[in-house]
This record gives sequence, structure tokens and C-alpha cells, in this order.
Amino acid sequence: MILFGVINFHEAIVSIEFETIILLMSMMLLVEVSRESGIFSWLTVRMAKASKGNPLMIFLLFALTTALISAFLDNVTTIVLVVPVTIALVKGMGLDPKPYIIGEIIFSNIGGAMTLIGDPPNIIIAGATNLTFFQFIANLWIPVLLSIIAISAIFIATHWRNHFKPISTNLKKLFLSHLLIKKITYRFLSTELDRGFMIKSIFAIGITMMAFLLQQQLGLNVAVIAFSGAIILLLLAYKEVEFEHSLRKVEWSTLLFFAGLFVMVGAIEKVGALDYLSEFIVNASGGSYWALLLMVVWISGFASMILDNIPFVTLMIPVILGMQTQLDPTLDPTLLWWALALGACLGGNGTMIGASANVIGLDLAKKEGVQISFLQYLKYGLPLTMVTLIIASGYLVIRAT
Amino acid sequence: MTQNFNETLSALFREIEIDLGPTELCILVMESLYEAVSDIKKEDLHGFFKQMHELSLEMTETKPRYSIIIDSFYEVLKMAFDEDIAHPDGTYPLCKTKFLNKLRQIITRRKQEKREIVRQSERIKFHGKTILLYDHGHTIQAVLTAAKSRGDRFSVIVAEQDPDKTGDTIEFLHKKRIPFRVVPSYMVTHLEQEIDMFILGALTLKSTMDFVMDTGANGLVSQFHLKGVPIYVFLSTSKFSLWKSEKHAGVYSQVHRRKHHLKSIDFERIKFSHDRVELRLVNKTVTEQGIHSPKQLKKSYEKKLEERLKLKERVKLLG
Repeated sequence: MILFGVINFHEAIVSIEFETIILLMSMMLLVEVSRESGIFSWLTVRMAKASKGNPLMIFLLFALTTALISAFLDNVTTIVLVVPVTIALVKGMGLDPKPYIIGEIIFSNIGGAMTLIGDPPNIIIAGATNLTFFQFIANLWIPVLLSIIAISAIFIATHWRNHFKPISTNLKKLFLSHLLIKKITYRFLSTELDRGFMIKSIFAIGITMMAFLLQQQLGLNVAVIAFSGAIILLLLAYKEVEFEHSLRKVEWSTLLFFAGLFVMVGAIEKVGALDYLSEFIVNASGGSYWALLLMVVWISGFASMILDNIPFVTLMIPVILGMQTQLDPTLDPTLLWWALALGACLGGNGTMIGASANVIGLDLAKKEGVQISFLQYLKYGLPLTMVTLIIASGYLVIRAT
Repeated sequence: MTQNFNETLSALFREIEIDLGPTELCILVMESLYEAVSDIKKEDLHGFFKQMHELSLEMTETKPRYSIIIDSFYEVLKMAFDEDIAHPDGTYPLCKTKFLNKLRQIITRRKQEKREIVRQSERIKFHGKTILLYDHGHTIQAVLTAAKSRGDRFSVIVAEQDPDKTGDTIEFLHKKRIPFRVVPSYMVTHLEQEIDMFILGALTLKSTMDFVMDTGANGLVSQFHLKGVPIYVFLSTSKFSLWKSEKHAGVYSQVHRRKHHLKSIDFERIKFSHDRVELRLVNKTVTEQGIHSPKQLKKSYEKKLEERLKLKERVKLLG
């Protein structure tokens, strides 16, 4: 864009949302350093033990915990933690692990939609607006919770006969599942856990989350909070981790990709293309706010199924800002952000390429000998995404009227 | 389910045995049975006996068969059988506590056996020796730990097994600050002169008077037997295979098709699960009951086998 003279170098640098980049980097550091303490492996093994090998409990515990962790940590990290344990447990019991893996992927994307730091689209939205961590949770928990309940119910109803029947009367199955849990315990907790390091990690994550929730009272930017959290952990764990080693764990290429994306969108915005797009969408809604919200949710949803939702949301930010300028001042303009967040995060579940967690999760499954094809994923992903988008639509329409 | 279940079980046993050794495998298996019995719901005594019988039969059909597990299951099965005979009413309620206590006893005994072997090993002189180690089981690790804490100063040469096992042994020796070096098993010849004793564990002792050991053990034992280096095997008597085995019975193997890493050459690669090593090749076997010569161990085995064959219920129950 600079070479073609669309924007100059200064404008390109200005268009980069450094808050978003620092927030992402800090969360990567916080998660990676905490992961080295073994806290997440410990948690996954605890879940396996708590399930007592009961297939329904395995599904519910793993899927719900995935949703919860994904809300506060990166979705990909969550999937990397839960999928191998699930496969070892479920496959070992002679069951097909596919529904469990797909369920976890879907729940990680749903859970990620709930908070400011749960999914990159939300981080980008937060970077472009003044929306706080608390506002994200307060406005998104209802559709997220309803989606989780609906998807769990659908999974249980459709897989009860083949997967989730209780094993509590079958000695063979009970024995096998307990033995598998013991194997998983020593396999995934092979190195001795450093209790002190784990406590430091929990403390750093806890204090960061607390600060996120009290963001308004503290008057701090989310990027500053996350960066401080990461630094606190690095200082506390200076004996356990090397600073340079931790820095290598940050996905610098992803951060550069984000920076490039901001420059690209800055250039498109400068030429005025996005103003036309926002005008077009507002006109197409026929002046109805709820119709506009539905258009944002469903366009974002479908776009996220086939495109990476990160560039899509980055592109949509100026479009939404443009729409807000054309709105009746009596209407709540923030609903458009929630529509974008819900559409982009939930839509990512539609296909196996819709979100990073899907790609990584299915790749991990393949490495463990569980091949899930595009169509096999689509069979679950598409209808369930429709259900969650319908829930999101209903919620937004109620809020708008 | 039977075929798949048994295949799954066999694979799981093999994997755990490779990772942790047979004693730990047995302890994990019995702990799993304890938890399974503890969790089972809506079951009467007769139904439990039937399920326990089926599960015990599965244990006798794993590949390879683990005598220490079969024996432990047999004890519980025998109890279930006696209880079932004593209460012929088909709907008599299952009293879990009795079975759980029995299982707790078995688990304690298995752990105790390891401690007893360590105690017996105090009679072996490790001080000042260079020990060749070809094992990754926790029993030998406990023996070396005990020797080190007694103040014995010795060094270890680790003959490499597969990377996971060797890695585990290295971690252990490093943690316990026992001086060690590592050598590929097929190069150990070059260190022969330095080695004062050779220690290793065994999976079982068969009626043919062969130990079942990790693959690669037979070559090393034969080599050091010829050189006259004292060879010590650590094995609890509960691991004896108390049934008649054939001398040339097959060892479990896996055949994979592989490709040459550079050229388009396709070939067959065979991997075996275990080695058979003749009892006469080793000098001493350390069990929880003492340190035995091959002759004494044979006697001890035969006595146990005879006792076992007397148990007619076992024949009746396990066919």
C-alpha cells in the first residue's frame, strides 16, 4: 500500500493498533509461561479423574471447561491442552473421539466469544473502541450461556445411544476407563509438578483477570493490565523460566500479521471504500435497527465460516463506526459491536477452516490417528453454528426492541 | 466387545509395562479394579461374580500374559466365587467393602514386595562397583536409591534401551546424583573390562525356567555370562508364571512395512515385545524372600506351582 502510494509510511504506522498488539503479546506470554508450570496439564488430568471414565461426564467436563478456559485464555492453547487427553481417554475406551473433539472445538469458540480477551475478533473490537472487559462479559454472557446449553443438549440428545450411556453397571468398562485415567495421569504429568511455580502462575493469571474486571475503576487500558500481568509472572518466576526462552514462545509472526492487517485496512479506509459499504448495509436494512443487527450478525457469521475472522473483523471496524454515525441517537450503538463479536466468533465454528482452534484441533486429532474430514466437520459445525447464530440474533433483537 | 476389549487391554498393558515396569503395572491395574468396584452401581453379588469372572478371563488372554496380574485377579475372583457359593440367592446384595478391603490388601502386598526386595538387596555389595544397568523399572531404581542412601559409592553404565526408557533412567540417576554414563547396548563390549556386575529386572519366570525380560536382555546376559561378570535379576515371586509353558512358545511381535529414508526400498521391520533369557545364565535372583541361586529359585518356583495346581477352584473357575 505504501509502495503504491495509497498511504504514506507515517499513516501506515499510525494505523497500527499497538494496544491490540501489546495485549495479544502479553496474553501469549502469560499463557506460555503459565503453561510451563504444568498448571494446565494438571487441570486437564484432574478433569479426566473427575469424569471417572463416564463418557457423558468426559464430554460435559471437557467441553464446559474448554468453554470456560477459552473465555479467559487463547482458544488454540485450550484446544492443544484438551484434545490429546480426550483422544487418549475416549479412543482408549473403544469409542469414536470425533464428536468429543468437534464438541470441544465448538465450545472453545463459543466460550471465546464471551470476553474481551477470549478471541482475537473481540481483542480487535476492544482495541478500536472504549469497551471494557466488564462490558464484554455483561453484554455477551447471555447468548454464550444459551448457546452452550443448546449445543450441549443437542450433543447429548443425538449421541446418547452410541456415546453417552452410563457405564456405571459395567465392570469391564469401569475398569478400563480407570486404568486409562491412570495412564493419562502419568503420561501428561510425567515431569514432577512445581507447586511453587503453579501458585505463582495462578496468582499472576488471577490478578490479571481481577484487574480486567476492575478495569473501569482502575482506569487502566487492557493492554497495560495484560502487560503488567505478564511482567509480574516473569518476575515472580525468574528462577523457573528464562526471559529469552519465554520471549521465543511469543508468536511474533502472528503479531506482524496483525500489524500488516491494520495497515491494509487503514489504506482501504483512506480511499473511502468502507464508507460506501457501511452506507450500503444501513440502506439495505430499510431503517430498522434490528434488521441492521441481524445483517451484521449473519454477514459476519457466514464470512467467518469461510474467511479468517481476524482480517474480516479488522475490516468491519471502520464499517461499524460508519454505521454508528448514521444511527438514530436514541438507539444503543454498542449493540452493533456485540453483533459483530457474536457473528465473527460463533461463525468461526461453521467450517473446519473458520477459526484457528478448528484447524489446530483437527490437526492434533490427525496426529493422534483421528482423521476428521471437511464434510464430517461440516455435518456438525454448520447446523450447530446456525443454532448459535439464531440464539445470538434473538438476543440482539430483544435488546434492540 | 470381547475381541476389541482384549486387544485394547493388551496394548494398554504393554504400554504401561514399557513405561513403568511390571510391578507398577500391576499396582495400577489393581488400583483401577479397586476404583471400578467402588464405582459399580445396581449390582448384586451373583451379577458381580459373573462380571468379575469375565474380566478375569480377559486377564488370562492378554498378549503377553502378566502372571502378577492374573494372580491378583484370581484372588479377588476366588473371593467372589466363595461368596457366591455361600449366598446362592441370585439377588443377594453385593457387599463392596469386603472386596475393596481385599483389593487394598493386594495393593499393599504388591508395594510391600518391592520394599522387601529392596531390603533383601542390602546384602549385595554395591560399594566401589561399576554396575551395568539394563532396566528402567522402579524396583531396581528403589534398590539403587537405597544403596546410595546407605552410603555406597558406585557408578552406573546405562546400556541403552528405547529412548523413553533410557531417558527415564537418566532422569532418575541424575536426580539421585548417582554417577553414570550411557552406552548403546551394541557397543557395551568396549566397556566390558570396567563392569563389575550386571543388574536387570524381569517380567516373569516361566515353567521352562526362562525369564521374560526386555528385548535386548538375552544378548547382554549371554555376553556377560561368558565373561563371568556376576548377573543379578530382581523379581518378586508373585510374578512367577504359574502355568505350564512351552519352551518355544512365540513372543509377541509387530511387523511394519517401512520405506528406506532416501531410496524407494520397501521392507519389513519386525519388533518383538520381550526376550526369553535362560535362568541358568544368571548368578543370583533377588526376590522378596531372599537372594537365590538358579537352583534355589527353580525349587521355589516348583513349590509355588505345585501349590497353585492344588487349588482346584482355580481350574474350575478359569477352565
